[in-house]
Amino acid sequence: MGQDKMGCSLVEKDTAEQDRTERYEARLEDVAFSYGGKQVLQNLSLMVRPGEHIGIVGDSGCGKSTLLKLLAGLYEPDSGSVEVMGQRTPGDIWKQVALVMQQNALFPLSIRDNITCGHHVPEAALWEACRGASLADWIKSLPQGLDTHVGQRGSQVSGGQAQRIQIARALCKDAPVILLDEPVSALDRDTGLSVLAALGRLTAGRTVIHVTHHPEALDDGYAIYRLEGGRLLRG
Amino acid sequence: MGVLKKLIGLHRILFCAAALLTVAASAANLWWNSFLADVLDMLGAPGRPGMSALLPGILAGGTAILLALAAGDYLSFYAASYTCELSAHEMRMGYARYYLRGDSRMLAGCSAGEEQSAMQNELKDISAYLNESLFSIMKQFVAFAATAVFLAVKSPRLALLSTLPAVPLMLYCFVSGRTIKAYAERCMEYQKKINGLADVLLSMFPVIQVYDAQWLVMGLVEERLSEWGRASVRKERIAARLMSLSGLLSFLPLLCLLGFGGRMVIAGEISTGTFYLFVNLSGNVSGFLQNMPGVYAGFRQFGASMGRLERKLVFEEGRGGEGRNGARRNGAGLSREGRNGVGRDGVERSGAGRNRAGRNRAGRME
Repeated sequence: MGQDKMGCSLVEKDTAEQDRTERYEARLEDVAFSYGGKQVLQNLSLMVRPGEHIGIVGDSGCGKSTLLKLLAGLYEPDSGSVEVMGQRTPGDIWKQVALVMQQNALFPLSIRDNITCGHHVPEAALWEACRGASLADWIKSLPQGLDTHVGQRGSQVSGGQAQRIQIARALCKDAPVILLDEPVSALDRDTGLSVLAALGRLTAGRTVIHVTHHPEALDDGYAIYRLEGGRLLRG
Repeated sequence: MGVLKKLIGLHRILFCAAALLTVAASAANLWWNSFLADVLDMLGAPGRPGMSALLPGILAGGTAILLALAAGDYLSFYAASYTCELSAHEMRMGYARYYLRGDSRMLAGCSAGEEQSAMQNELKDISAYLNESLFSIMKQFVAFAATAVFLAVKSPRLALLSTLPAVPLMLYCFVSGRTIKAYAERCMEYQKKINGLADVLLSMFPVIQVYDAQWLVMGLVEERLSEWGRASVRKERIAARLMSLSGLLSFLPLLCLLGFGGRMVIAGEISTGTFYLFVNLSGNVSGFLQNMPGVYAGFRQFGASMGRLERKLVFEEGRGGEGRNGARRNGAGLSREGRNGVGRDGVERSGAGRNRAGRNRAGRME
C-alpha cells in the first residue's frame, strides 16, 4: 500500500505528512462504513490528485458502489473523513462531482430533461454535450428531437443510448470530478466499446474514479486498485 | 373475464354450491314474505277465527321459516366467502407463478413500482371485489329474477305495470356504465404512473442529489398527481351526474306500483296481502335496477382490472378441476409451492366470512 508512482496512493503513516501538504481533488481518510450491521469498509484511505484516473475493481458486493457513494457525498462514513475539492459537506460535494451510473438511471421524462436535470442550459451547450456523448446524430433523427420521451426506466431507448444520455448529463454539468459506477457493465461488447469512447471525451483532463468488476473496461491511463475485505489494495 | 372463467373452472363445485345456496336463501326470503302476506290477508278476512286460535299456527310457521331463512343466509354467506377467498388466493399464486416463469428480458423491463402497484392495487381490488361484491351481486340478481317471476305469478298485470318503466332505466344503466368504466380506466392508468414514481425516486436517488434534480422530480410528481387528480375529479363528476339521474328515474317503478296497485286494491282485483307483497318485494326488482349503474360500473372496473392482469396470472392447468375438495386442492397447491400458509389462509377466510355475513345481513332488503 502507498507505493503508487503515479501519485495516487493509499497513505501509510510515513508518507502521511507529505500527503497532507499536497493538493488532492478527492480524499478519503481512515473511512469506515457499515451497512445493516455489516462492516463494508474499514480504515480505508484514498488520495486522488488532479486529473488522475483511478479504477477500483472487486467482486460484486465488495463495497465498490458504497465507496463511490461516499465519494459522491451520498453516504456519510461511520468514522474518518471524505473531502472532494476541499469540500466536506454533502451539499457542497454534490456540486463538485458528476455521476454516471449503471443502466437505466434515467427519469421517465424527455431526453432534454434527462440531460439538463431541470436546470437552464443554453441550447448550444446542450448540443455540445450531446455531440460529446455521440448522441447528436441520433437525436436529430428523432421526430421530437430532444423532447423525445425516454419512457419508464429508459424503456424507449437502447442501453447504449441510455448510457450516452447519462454521459451527456455529466458533460453538461462540467464538474471537476467524475464518478463512474459500472457504466458499461450491462452493455454488450460493441455497445460498451462505443460508450467507452464517449466516456473518454467526458473524462479527458478530469479527475476520474471508476468502479467496475470488469478491469478490461479500464485503459492504461488508470491506476487500478482492488477492493477486498473492506480495504483497498494496489491492483 | 377469462380469469373469472378460469377461477370458476378451478373451483366449480364450490362456485355451484355457493350459487345454489344463494338461490335457496332467496327462496326462503320469498317464502317469508309470502307467509306475511298470507297472515295479513287472514287477519283482514271477514269472519276469521279468533287470535288465540290463529296465533300458535302463525308463531310456529313464522319460527320455522325464520330458522330456514337464517340457515340459508348463513350457508350462502359462508360458501360465498370461502369460495372467494380461495379464488383470491389462486390469483395471488398465479401472479407469483408469472414472475417465476418470466424470462430475464421481461423482468428487466418491469418497473418495481408499477408491478407493486399492480400487485397491491389491482390484485387487491379484484380480491376485494370477489369477497365483497361478486356473490352479493349474484344474490341481488337471483333475488331480482326470483322476485320478478314470483310477482308475475301473483299478479301479472301489476308486475308488468310496475316493472315496465324499469326497461328504459336498464338501457340507461348500460350506456352510463360504459361511460363510467372508460373514465375509471383512465383514472387507474394515472394511478399506476404515480406508483411508478416511488421506483424513480429510489433508483434515481443518487442522480437527484448529485445533479440537484429535486425540482425536476417535484415537477414530475406534481404533474403526475395533477393528471391523476384531474382524471379522478372528471370520473367522479361524470359518475355523480349519471348515477343521480338514474336514482331519480328509479322512482318511476315505485310510483307506478303505488298508483296502479292502490287502484287495484280499491277495485278488489288484488288483496291487501298481495299489494303488501308487491310493495315489500318491489325493492328486490327496482332496488337492483336502481343500483345498476354502480353495480355495472363496479363490474366493468373489475373486468378491466382482470383484463389488465390476465396475462400476468398463470394458473396451473388441470389444477382443481377434477371435482376434488377445494380446500384440499388449495392445501396441495401450497405444498407444491413450498409454502406454509394454510393456517393463515384459514384464519383470513373465516374473518372474511364473518365480515361479509354481518355486512349483508345489515343491508338486506326485505
